[in-house]
Amino acid sequence: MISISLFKKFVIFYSLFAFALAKSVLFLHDFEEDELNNYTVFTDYLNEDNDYDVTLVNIKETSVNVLSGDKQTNLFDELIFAPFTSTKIKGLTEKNIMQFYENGGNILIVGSPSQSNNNPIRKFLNSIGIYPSPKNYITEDYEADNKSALLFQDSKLFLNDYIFDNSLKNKAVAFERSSSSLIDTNEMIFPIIAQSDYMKSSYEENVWALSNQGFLAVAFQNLKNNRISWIGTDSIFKNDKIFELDNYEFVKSVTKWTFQEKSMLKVTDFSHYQVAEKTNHYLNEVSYLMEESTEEYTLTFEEEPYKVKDTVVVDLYVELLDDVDKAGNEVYKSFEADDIQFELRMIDPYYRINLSKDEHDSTRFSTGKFDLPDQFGIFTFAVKYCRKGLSYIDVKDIKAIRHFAHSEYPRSYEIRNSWVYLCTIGSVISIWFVFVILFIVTSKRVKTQTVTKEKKEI
Amino acid sequence: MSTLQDQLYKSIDLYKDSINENITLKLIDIFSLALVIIASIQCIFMIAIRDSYPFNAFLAGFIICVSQFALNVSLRLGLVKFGDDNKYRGERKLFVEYIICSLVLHFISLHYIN
Repeated sequence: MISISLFKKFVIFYSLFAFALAKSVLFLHDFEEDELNNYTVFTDYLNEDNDYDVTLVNIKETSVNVLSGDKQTNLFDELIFAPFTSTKIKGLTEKNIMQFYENGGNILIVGSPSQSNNNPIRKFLNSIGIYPSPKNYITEDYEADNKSALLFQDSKLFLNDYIFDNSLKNKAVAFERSSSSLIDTNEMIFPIIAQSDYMKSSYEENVWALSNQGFLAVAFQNLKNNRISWIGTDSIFKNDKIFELDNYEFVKSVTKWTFQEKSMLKVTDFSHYQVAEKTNHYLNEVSYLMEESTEEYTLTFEEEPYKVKDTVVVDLYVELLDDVDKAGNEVYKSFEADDIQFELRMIDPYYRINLSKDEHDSTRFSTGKFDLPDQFGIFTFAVKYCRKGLSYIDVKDIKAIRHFAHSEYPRSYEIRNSWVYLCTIGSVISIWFVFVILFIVTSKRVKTQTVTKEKKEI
Repeated sequence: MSTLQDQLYKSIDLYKDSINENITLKLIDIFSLALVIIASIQCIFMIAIRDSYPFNAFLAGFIICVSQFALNVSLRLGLVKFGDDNKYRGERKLFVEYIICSLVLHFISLHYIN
């Protein structure tokens, strides 16, 4: 009985989450009393502009639980970490954070030079290959008058247009009192803002990151497209700096990107079909001659399984998620790329074909017509597309390609080369026929001769 | 001591005598020569176009020449009498066997080319 009531509780509990339209966001901080008031613009942005269900929790007061009892489900969709000065978070270890991330949660992490050295978030970041500078290390710009105020104007320092769009090269962001991070060589780490040549992250004599080594904002995306971003400073989230230059846009873009509301590639369809030709004979009404016309038609694999050398087309329909509005409607735009590659493989790739975009249908990327290889077996039709800042595309379809049936090969008289061999066989047989007739005609006399000879001897 | 040349001329003369004596041998030899020519034409054609496709057709054409040649030789061996050998071999039976084998060969070749 207890277990049934517990189960009912669980069902009600989870159904509440399932039907909640708004994303639930947990904002964790350990601020002193008034300090949270500095973040009202940001929290209002989350609460009102996006209609998220934001829960603000001070870790000093309550313990935090982001996972369900069996750790397989998240209690919140997204997590935001403000910079912590304390070293422990009640109920939250780096393992829990990792579990939350792997269950599908996204994490936005705000760094700061005043952040404590030994906290679970720092350990979590280190485990994925992002190494923020230790406590008190400040990034300084040796070109500027005020060294700790960093101004990013040079478009070369913005490294990812999918996360923060600076394609027009007119954006500028101002950081203050920021920490920097070193990053691993992992391809799933996407730096957003790099240090300029004249910046240095140091504390007294010790240097953490010199010029191009360090990054002030870094993002990470795992193979399940869950996202993490780390921003080196809390200054741009604060009310007094958030409207400076393009800071607000930067904060919005990074938040949207982290919460998977931007730069997500949605594969609406991945299909392939055979293109076959049909010849029609018809009577030309002017010249009264029979004429031929070829007509193409398509067949899916289900209608007609592929065989070797068939002509096939592979299509991928992709849209790029640009934004999610307040009501939760997804806004898509067409995706531009000429480097999406289709791969036909059976252990080794047999073909790699770049998909080209359809002129009429902006979501359709197609290989165009190509012939299957002269090899039968179980082939994988696959598209894998991983680009920094975009969600990954990994679609595949495994299909068997059969060989020709014995009756499907061209007959020898259809091949002009073999006419020579056919003629020789014909000539051998006809010569043989003539030979046999001549043999019969001539041999009678010979036989009688031999037979008579033998008779004489006997 | 006769030279090699003498021996050669002698054997050619012997051969000429034998085929003039027996017209069936002459027929078999002409047929066999034709087979050799046809087989070499096919080989030259294949080398000239530098392509063995369709290989089964080539094999059928070539093998019918070779096999027919072998059948001819076996027939010829059965018909020729050497020296005082007067044993009755049954030429009629030999010839019927030859025809049956040839027909089987032609059937296989025509089947194989398609």
